[in-house]
Amino acid sequence: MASVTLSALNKTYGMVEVIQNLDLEIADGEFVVLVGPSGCGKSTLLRMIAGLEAITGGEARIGDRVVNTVAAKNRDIAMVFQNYALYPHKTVRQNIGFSLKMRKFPKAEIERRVAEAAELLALTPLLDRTPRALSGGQRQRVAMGRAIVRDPSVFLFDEPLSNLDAKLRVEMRAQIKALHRRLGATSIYVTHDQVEAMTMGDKIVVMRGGEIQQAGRPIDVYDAPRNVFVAGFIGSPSMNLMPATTDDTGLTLFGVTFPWEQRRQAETLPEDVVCGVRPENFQLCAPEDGIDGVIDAIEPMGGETVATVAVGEAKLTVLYRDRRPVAVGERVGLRPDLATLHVFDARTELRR
Amino acid sequence: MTSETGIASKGTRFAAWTALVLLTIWAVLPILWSLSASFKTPLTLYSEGFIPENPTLDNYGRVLSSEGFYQYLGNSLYLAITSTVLTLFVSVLAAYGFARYAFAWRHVLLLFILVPRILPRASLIIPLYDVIARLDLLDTYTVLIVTYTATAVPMATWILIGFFQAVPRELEEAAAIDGASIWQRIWGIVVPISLPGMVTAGILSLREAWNEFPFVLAFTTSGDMRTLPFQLFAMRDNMGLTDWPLINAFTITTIIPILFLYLLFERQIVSGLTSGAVK
Repeated sequence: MASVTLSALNKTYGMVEVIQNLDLEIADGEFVVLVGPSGCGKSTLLRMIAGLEAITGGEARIGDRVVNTVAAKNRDIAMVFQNYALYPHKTVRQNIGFSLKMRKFPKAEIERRVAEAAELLALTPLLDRTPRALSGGQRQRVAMGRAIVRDPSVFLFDEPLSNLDAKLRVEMRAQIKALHRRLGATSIYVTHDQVEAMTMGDKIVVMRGGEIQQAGRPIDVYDAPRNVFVAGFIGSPSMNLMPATTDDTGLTLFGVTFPWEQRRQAETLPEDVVCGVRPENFQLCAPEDGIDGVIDAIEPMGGETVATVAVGEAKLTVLYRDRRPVAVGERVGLRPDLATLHVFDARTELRR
Repeated sequence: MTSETGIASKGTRFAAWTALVLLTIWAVLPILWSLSASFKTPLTLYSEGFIPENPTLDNYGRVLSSEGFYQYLGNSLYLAITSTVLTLFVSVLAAYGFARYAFAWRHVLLLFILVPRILPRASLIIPLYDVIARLDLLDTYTVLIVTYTATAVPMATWILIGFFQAVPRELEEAAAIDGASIWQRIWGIVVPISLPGMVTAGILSLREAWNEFPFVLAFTTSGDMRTLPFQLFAMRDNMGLTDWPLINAFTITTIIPILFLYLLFERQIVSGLTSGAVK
């Protein structure tokens, strides 16, 4: 068990800054998800913690040890790779036991630990197969087994579920969480899938361009995104972000002014803002009672329905759970729930 | 062969088969002739047809009981095996470097290591002879092993580079985290996964050493250093009247071990020489 502390961490490839002055504190036993679009530096960050990528500047600590120059094998970490990275010429048993063999554990101890890990992951009947003869989900579990067998103080996951089909992904998500609860080891999990991030993380770290945009509990990030990027990235379907203006009378969206009690008094509020409304916080109404638009597309999903409404050039997304007899091409009105409105400074893109 | 682009027309297939059959005959006929001759006697060599009327194993008996045969066979085996093992060892390390590291002049070096293969072997003999004489290594196994290795390493390296590059980096990273040193990663992960490449490189270098003739002719003098190809050459030379059936029996005997290896590993060799072409 160990905490992970990154301070003023930097990574550059030649002139390109991939990670810029990054600070992050991961508590002992915490499950932290690094999430962001591809190229945001999340995988590089993980690989720097793993010791697969050199640290250009700053300091990485695992526990109270600075690991900047410590070799990967001596960092007491285990990593699960996106493509599993199973040794194709070794059996499941040998794959799981490889790290123990490299560390010269006695044979009986290896045997015992491999059996234990296999039991935990329901791999016992597969121990003598090679990876070739396994399904995607089984390979994934072998990769997990290889990580847990050593009982490392930190687990690193690099998009471990992205090669699985949707159903299996949901299953494995739950399994990994259950495993984390059981082992209690500090885990750092990289994904570009914000649903994975929301559902798995004790804490999520949203990254862009090598910088942390926001870190916090998933619900807090969802409820109060710190800037326009996080607002648009977290949540599915994503938040509607619209240019708006404010004045004493309220908030004006697409020419419609909504009286906005909560914030009208705030003198510091700039005139031009970006207004964010989650799809579930829009209500359909008569065209004259809200923002006037035309239904562009309807995606019924059973439990809920997602409709796209064209307002001039803009496309807004509405999510509703009741049955509504609306059709594509119909004129409708949209009313935002003013209590859950997100307002960002149009210039700095920061939350106000 | 299956084609994904479409089904060949009957005419195309006929042409392809004809070409393949002709090529096969072209390649195999000399060996068949040699095989046929090896079962005949000097007297019946030209009088009988392609299939010997009274096939005799006498020639093979004479080959196996000929003076020094087992010594020469032993020499050939020893030289081929040691130089192949050495070739693979050196090539694995060289190919790993080329496959995994980006360094200055990489491409130039990659071309340069081919030089020993571009030059005709005969042109190497005189300068090499001079060097070897100065080192006082003439007429030793060492010099043959070293020269065979030196000429086989370029080919083996080129074959292995492609295989090593195809081994996903993550496998090595996983192994590094698991605690494997670079040495353990190369021999425990990269090499086993590249087995078809290893087999291909190994057999090709084994064949080269087995069939090699100019170096053994130039660098050895004593009779007990001879290899099978050398003896084949000497046999022709020493006898006033060439005993063709005997020579052919000798040739076939020399070919058999390599042929056997080829058949044994045919699948790996084919995949070894063609993999990477289609990905």
